[in-house]
Amino acid sequence: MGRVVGFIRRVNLKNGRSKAVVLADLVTLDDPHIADYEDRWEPTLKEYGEDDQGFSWRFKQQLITRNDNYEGYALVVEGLTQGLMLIETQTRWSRFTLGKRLVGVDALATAPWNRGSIQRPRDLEGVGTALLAFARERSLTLGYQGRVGLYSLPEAVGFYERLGMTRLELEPDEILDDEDMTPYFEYIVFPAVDENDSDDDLF
Amino acid sequence: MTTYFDPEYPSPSGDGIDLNTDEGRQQAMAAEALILSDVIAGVPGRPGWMKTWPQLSVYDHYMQVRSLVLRGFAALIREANLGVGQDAAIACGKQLVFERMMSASADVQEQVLALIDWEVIGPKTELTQQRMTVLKTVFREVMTQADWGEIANSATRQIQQQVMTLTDTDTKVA
Repeated sequence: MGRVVGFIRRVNLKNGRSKAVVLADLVTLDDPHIADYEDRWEPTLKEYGEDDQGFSWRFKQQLITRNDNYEGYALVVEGLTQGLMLIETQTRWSRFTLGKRLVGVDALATAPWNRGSIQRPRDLEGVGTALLAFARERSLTLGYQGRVGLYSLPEAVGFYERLGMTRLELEPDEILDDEDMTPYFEYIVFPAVDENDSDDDLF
Repeated sequence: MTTYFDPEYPSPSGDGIDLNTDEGRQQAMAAEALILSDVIAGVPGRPGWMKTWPQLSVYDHYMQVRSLVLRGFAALIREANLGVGQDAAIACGKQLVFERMMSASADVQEQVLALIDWEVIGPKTELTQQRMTVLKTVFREVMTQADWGEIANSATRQIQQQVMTLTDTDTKVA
């Protein structure tokens, strides 16, 4: 149930060219991953004008260090960080199932060389899928029955819809204009799970 | 603390991808390969009031606060019974409220933040009479006379437009 530290497991990714399986280490976020972000990711992102504005992973690492409710994870292949994820595990609640907690994915990013907007074919495929699958698994471990919530960039909406996540539709009163909203998606509980089987009820 | 829950919210279709199976992960990877964006989840930076409200460090929390304030403002305008000018007044006023809240005093920020349960980030906060009373005080403080004038003008223009088209109808009176 508690926060894990270090190596978690091997996961399968795909080589973007040959489609061969590539093994990646899923690990907890640490200094080398932040260094990779700053030394390897950021220069490439800047070069392509895709600076992840405000996505300071060093700040996120501090958040994790100071707060038990935040956890950070990285996917590493041959010593190089390929994906990063920040989740929140204690204060987020479902928008769809009243009084049920969920894991909030506050940030999920792939390395520039795995992004279709920068490189085709990508070096690796499946980085986001692997991290999201782990977020859902973490939700199960925490007793949240697989519930995961996240804000999607508009370009990634199709991905979350394809995964079967449910999108929150806002009331017109809450919307200022078409461009100011970031779509919210939630993985609702697995159909096979008994909704009454959790002890985290709030209401 | 009560939360808003809309039974009309969509429910999962059941035909989503199961990430627990190899087949599901393959399908998910294929779907992910279609994404061109730089980051695939999360909100970069500190949008909106997060820029000027130091206590709003979590986007979910910000959206909860923003939702309550904007819904409260719309409810206030509806109370005024502006008829056909109502939607225009709300649309104009929401933008002004948003801008004024950007520069809200620490006192106003504190009043608004106190309306939200910090332990329950996510679900929509119900717009109770008590909360509405506080929000009215807040709107009175942050909005200027010019703002209210602009809102009134928006409603007036909408009514005027409606009046000007009264004879545009093809309907024939028998």
